[in-house]
Amino acid sequence: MDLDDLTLVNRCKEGDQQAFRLLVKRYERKVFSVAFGMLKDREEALDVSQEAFVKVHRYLGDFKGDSSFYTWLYRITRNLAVDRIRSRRGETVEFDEKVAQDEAELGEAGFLSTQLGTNPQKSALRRELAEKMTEALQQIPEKHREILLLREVEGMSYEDLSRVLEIPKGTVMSRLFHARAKMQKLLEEYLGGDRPEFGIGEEEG
Amino acid sequence: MEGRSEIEMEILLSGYRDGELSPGERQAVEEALARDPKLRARLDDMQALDAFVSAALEREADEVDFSGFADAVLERVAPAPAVAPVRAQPHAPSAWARFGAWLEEVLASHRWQAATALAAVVLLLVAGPLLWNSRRDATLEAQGPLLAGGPGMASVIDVKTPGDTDAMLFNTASGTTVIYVQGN
Repeated sequence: MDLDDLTLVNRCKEGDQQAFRLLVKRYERKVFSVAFGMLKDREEALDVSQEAFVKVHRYLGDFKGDSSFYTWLYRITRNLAVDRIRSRRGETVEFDEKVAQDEAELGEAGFLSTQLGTNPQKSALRRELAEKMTEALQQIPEKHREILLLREVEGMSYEDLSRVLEIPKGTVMSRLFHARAKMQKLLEEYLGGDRPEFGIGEEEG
Repeated sequence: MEGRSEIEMEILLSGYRDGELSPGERQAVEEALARDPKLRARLDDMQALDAFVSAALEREADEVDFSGFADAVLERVAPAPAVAPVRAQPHAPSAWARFGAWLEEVLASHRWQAATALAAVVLLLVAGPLLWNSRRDATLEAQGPLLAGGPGMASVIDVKTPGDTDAMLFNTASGTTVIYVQGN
């Protein structure tokens, strides 16, 4: 029987290394996905992922269980990824909500769903598209990227997102919308009618 | 929905997609979806995008070998464990360390008796030589078989100690100092 996160955390606090190993195994892929989505570099993402777990281990004594373990873990992961980005760039990333409200960025309704379909497995997601997805993630502002990653990788509720990102719940909804709108626009540009060899839409019949 | 801009409606649509609206908001969005095909198409776009972002990241993770990941993490935490106390000694403690640990245990469990005995020993070691010098000619009365060779072999100083013990200090003819402690 799988043990829940809190049970494993409490065992870790008592020095049970095997319990900690189980926690790592449980979240390694998703932590990596969030880190990779933020950094777009596999080695850096792996390093940040490891660092996140090391930090979790170091500060386990401070975890009181007020929030879920995974929101705490993702907060650490996200903060480490952001630190890495900023040290890489050497600048502060500015965030401008107002720019994102331009209705012209919304794109043509129904274009993406027509081109991509709604089932990525059935539509045989090609490596090229996957790369384009992660490229597009890098092009949207950092605060849009992180919220989209946390929502899509972990399926976090708005309340958890609010805790992890330390923003009001209303801002979560607004920010997610703008993140999706920007991604949609970027992908529509890529999937525009000049790429007949792609043909994903054809598979949907 | 009346009075809402297109942007406001689509923000609500995003919340609807995530199942995070209040009952009233959800109903209003569903009514709008029923009326507006363009809004429905936007919702389809969101669903497609979400599915593909998630799949793209999963695909990336599929290409990573995580078999050694947990080991690598544990190696990084091992040098300075934050939570677990050190329970097992990697090597046997020295004799001095064992004596120290034993003494600590004795003092903790028999604190007052140990303190008394220790005080008695210290007192004898300090006072003994002084008393010996002043009572050099005292002889041993018959107290029982304390020393081989009989009482004439030693000079004795009878020193009473606090509590339930008697301490007697002897100086033998050969110059050896003997401390005899008797519990009552």
